[in-house]
Amino acid sequence: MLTAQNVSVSLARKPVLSTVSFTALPGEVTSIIGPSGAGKSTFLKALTGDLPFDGEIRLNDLSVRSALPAKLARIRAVLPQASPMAFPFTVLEVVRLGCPTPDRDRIAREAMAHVGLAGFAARPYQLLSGGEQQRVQLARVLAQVWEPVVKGMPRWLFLDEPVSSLDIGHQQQIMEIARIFAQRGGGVVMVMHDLNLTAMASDSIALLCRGELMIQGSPQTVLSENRLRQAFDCHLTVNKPPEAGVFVLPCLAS
Amino acid sequence: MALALLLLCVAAASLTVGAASTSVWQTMGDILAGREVSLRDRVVLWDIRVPRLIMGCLVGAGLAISGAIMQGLFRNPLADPGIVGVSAGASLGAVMAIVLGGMLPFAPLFGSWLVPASAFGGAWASTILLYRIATRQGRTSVATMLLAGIALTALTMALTGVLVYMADDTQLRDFSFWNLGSLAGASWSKLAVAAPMILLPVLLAPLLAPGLNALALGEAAAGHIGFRVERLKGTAILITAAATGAAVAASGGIGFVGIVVPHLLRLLSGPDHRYLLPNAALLGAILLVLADLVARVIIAPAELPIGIITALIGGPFFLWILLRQRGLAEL
Repeated sequence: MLTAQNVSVSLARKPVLSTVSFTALPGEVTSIIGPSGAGKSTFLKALTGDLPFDGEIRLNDLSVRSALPAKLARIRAVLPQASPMAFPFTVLEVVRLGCPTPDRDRIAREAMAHVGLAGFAARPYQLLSGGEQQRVQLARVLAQVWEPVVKGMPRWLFLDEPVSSLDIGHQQQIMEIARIFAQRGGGVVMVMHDLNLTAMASDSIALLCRGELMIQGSPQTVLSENRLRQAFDCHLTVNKPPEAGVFVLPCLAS
Repeated sequence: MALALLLLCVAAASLTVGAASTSVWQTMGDILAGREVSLRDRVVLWDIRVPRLIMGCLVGAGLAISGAIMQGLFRNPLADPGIVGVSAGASLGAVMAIVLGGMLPFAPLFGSWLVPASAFGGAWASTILLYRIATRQGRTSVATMLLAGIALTALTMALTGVLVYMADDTQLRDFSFWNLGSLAGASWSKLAVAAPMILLPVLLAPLLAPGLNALALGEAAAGHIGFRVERLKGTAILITAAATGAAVAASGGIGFVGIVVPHLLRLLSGPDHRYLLPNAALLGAILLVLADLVARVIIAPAELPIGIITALIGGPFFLWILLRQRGLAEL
């Protein structure tokens, strides 16, 4: 389980997050949404231990603040937003980087096939398109925590806007991968912009607004018309057809 | 393997060629067989050419591996101790030791280690300074790195100038001789100091390889994979400073080895630091021994400072990488 209790973060002495408490369960996809500047990425950076924070964050009963990087790396992998590489590494070399086990080549190749990059092993990473690079990084992250559960302990994927530069087909594919990881017992925590994809793929949604947690709950609960209008400050309608999930549609004021 | 053989060939050529016409192989055979050898032949081989050859290997290996590690640390193929001001920092340290060393009460304790140790200190301080300036939130801006390098070089050269101005005649002679950037001053006593200071970094460097590979993803991602990034960076800076400091103290300013060698190797065998670092040491040694050979024969019986040869090869090479990189990725 991932728990955050009263987490506050200040950047350059300016408070960005204040007293956010939050839970994510293994076996579920948990999404963090909110308007730009709400503190979503900052919160994810606190959850992965990349930013100093006040309060307490525990991942599988490990204190994120004090755990050694190597120990955390065994139970969670992090997909960053943008990932330029310094040198002309090949795709296979990049995917293998996070993979600790002796049969890293096999796992790396399986992870590449999983994200639809089976034939890309020898291609230079730097020459790929932005969307392809993002999928290579996803394969690297998947290879790091290839088995979602190890010795009864769940492993975790943290994804920072995993579908931001992808077309609709690949967006769907990434959401599918996140769902499968959770179904097999792992935990997924992701920062999302697209509310419909979020509604489709998430078990739990945390809505952040101005550095505070407005609500955390199921898509049905969190994605209400009034709350979204208030959080995003815009016109929209929410449709909840029976047995067909939640749809959020923007409307023009005129 | 091929590189090791090449190094042997270059080394053999280096021993054979020189101002004094001595049959090296006969002399060596005579020494090995226990036969009488003329004093002149023995001096030429044993006190001039062999130490010079070994020093060339050490300095070349040290500079090349420093370049490779710095490029991994800054995540940029243009980082080089000579270009970003680290060699200039080492020079300042060396000159401080030459000029001010006599005034320090504890200086005699260091003996012949004083100049290299001080050069190491200068290289270390300037690398840390450069890193602080050029890297923000785990990302290095090439423009800032190169410009900070220019500023650091200007500053350290000015301070070096002040020290030279203060120096007396003996110190000035020491300084000029050293500043020529040549392997001509190589001797067994200098080797005794330079060898451990360069060999230790060369042997330790491969331990950094997995960390430097991960660092290519960025500092945050390297941490997520499980590396202790701050410790990795600190170790990398210490290792480059030791190798650069010792190389500069031994042979003055020899530039561009650190940029040419790793780049060639990346073209040949890819950017994986597990192969890059050991191969850089070998190819660096080859390149410098070869450059020294050219420096000795091109205007024989006089010799050209080796720094001129490496700059003639390295300058255009640097520009070529710069132009190629501009098209490839955002700077």
